[in-house]
Amino acid sequence: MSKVVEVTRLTKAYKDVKAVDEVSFSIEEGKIYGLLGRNGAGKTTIMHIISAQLFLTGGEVKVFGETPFENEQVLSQICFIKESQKFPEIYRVQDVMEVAAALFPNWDRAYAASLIKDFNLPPRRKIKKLSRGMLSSVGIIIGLASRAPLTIFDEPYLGLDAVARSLLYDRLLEDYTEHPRTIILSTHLIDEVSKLLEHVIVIDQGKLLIDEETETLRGQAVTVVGPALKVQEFASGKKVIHREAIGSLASATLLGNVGAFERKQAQTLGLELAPVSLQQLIVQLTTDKPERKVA
Amino acid sequence: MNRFNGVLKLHTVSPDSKFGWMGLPWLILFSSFLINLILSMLLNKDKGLYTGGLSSIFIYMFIAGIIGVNRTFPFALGFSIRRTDYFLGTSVVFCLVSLLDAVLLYLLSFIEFNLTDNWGTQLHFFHLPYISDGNALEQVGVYFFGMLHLCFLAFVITALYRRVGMLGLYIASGIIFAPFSILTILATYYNWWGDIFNWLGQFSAFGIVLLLCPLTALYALASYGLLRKATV
Repeated sequence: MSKVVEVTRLTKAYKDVKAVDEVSFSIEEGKIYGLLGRNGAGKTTIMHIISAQLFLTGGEVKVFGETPFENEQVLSQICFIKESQKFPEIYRVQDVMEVAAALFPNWDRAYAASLIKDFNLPPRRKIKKLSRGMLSSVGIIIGLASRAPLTIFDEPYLGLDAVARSLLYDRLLEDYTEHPRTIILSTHLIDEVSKLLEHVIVIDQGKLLIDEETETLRGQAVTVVGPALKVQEFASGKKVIHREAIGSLASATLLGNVGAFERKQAQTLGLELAPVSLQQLIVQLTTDKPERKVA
Repeated sequence: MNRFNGVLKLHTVSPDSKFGWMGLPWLILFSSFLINLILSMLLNKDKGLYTGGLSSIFIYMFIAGIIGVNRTFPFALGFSIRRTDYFLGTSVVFCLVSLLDAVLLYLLSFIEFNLTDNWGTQLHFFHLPYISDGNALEQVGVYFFGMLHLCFLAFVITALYRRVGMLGLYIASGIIFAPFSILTILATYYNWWGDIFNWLGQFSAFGIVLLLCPLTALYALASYGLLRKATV
């Protein structure tokens, strides 16, 4: 599989603050990636650099094997939809679509029109008069209908209700199946998209924290629940990333594979093993704690 | 090429942007013309009425340039348009609008001076002494290069703003204006003004706008250089 994006020791520094600090990862063709992390972790900065809207201060970024800056070959294949995207206020919805049609080589007019209907957008309404959710829908429609080989969604759902969000996930998956491409989803609603994501990259405080297949990641942690003492006994010698106690009961989230031996041990101790959702795992890994390195 | 067309579309796709480039400036100019026409009917016809109302369209184009670029550049970057294509497309829009305006202004000047005997009221609005000297091509040239100069001045100011932000813009204008202020003070102190105006006076209006052309080119180059380094 060829690499669509290759980020090597990418650094972006503002005066003395490092927004992105020596981050390296690569994005393979035809997969859906989740770029996750807390607010201000540096996700948007990384995506801005990939799409040549910001300049890096160190390292290297290659997109489709080339440097993206002023590179027609590369840029014409990228569609980057961000939450903060400003559309000219005097445009109508249909004007934005018209410009997108002129710019994105794979633009599908009919598909865009059907999406406008699905998302209930008034095509003749001016951008200035759209609600926050409608504005997000405009971005989403462009992201889908552009069918760009590299499509990046940066928190595209702001102001969208649950119905519209699930419409987004449905359409995304449908269209991705019919027209495979590389998609990067940056989101806080991890549970909602966890089924879509094939690979997860987590950025925390400008550094790469996790770069793992979603499947592998899911099996990497487990929560044990039971009497506090027993939980402690079970957890000793294991990497605990989260602890909670309610009265005499306690729970601990453990990192690392839980094999047959551990399962048996838990059973004899009277402990319950529960899977950890992707969201829980990432929340716990990115919550401020002094030590939280993952291999 | 595809993307270059996209930039043209970017500036002209909505009815409001078309109106902004071609509708509003003419509306402003015509309202100024109408007021002056009514005034000229009321005033003494022997003296004639000379007005500077024509300048409104030039001032407007300068503002339209600033608004147009500021509105579309972040959007263009967000839609993965190359900065170079944005610069070229925007420059072409500036040229086309300036050319169209220049031809229309010349036609109105022609109607005023040659066809209607100054609208029958001795109003000198489009055909002005000095500005309208020279042949048809030169008159169109005066409007065209004059307007183009203002458009690219707007372009370079906005590009500078996009590159360095508001504070940077203040500092840069300080740096640019300081030598001018010093020169002005020196010119007054040493009585250079007479010589300066004498020197300028030897040029026709067309000669003056030709002098502006290298400056316009400089703005264009600077805009391009700044945009290449500008971020969202």
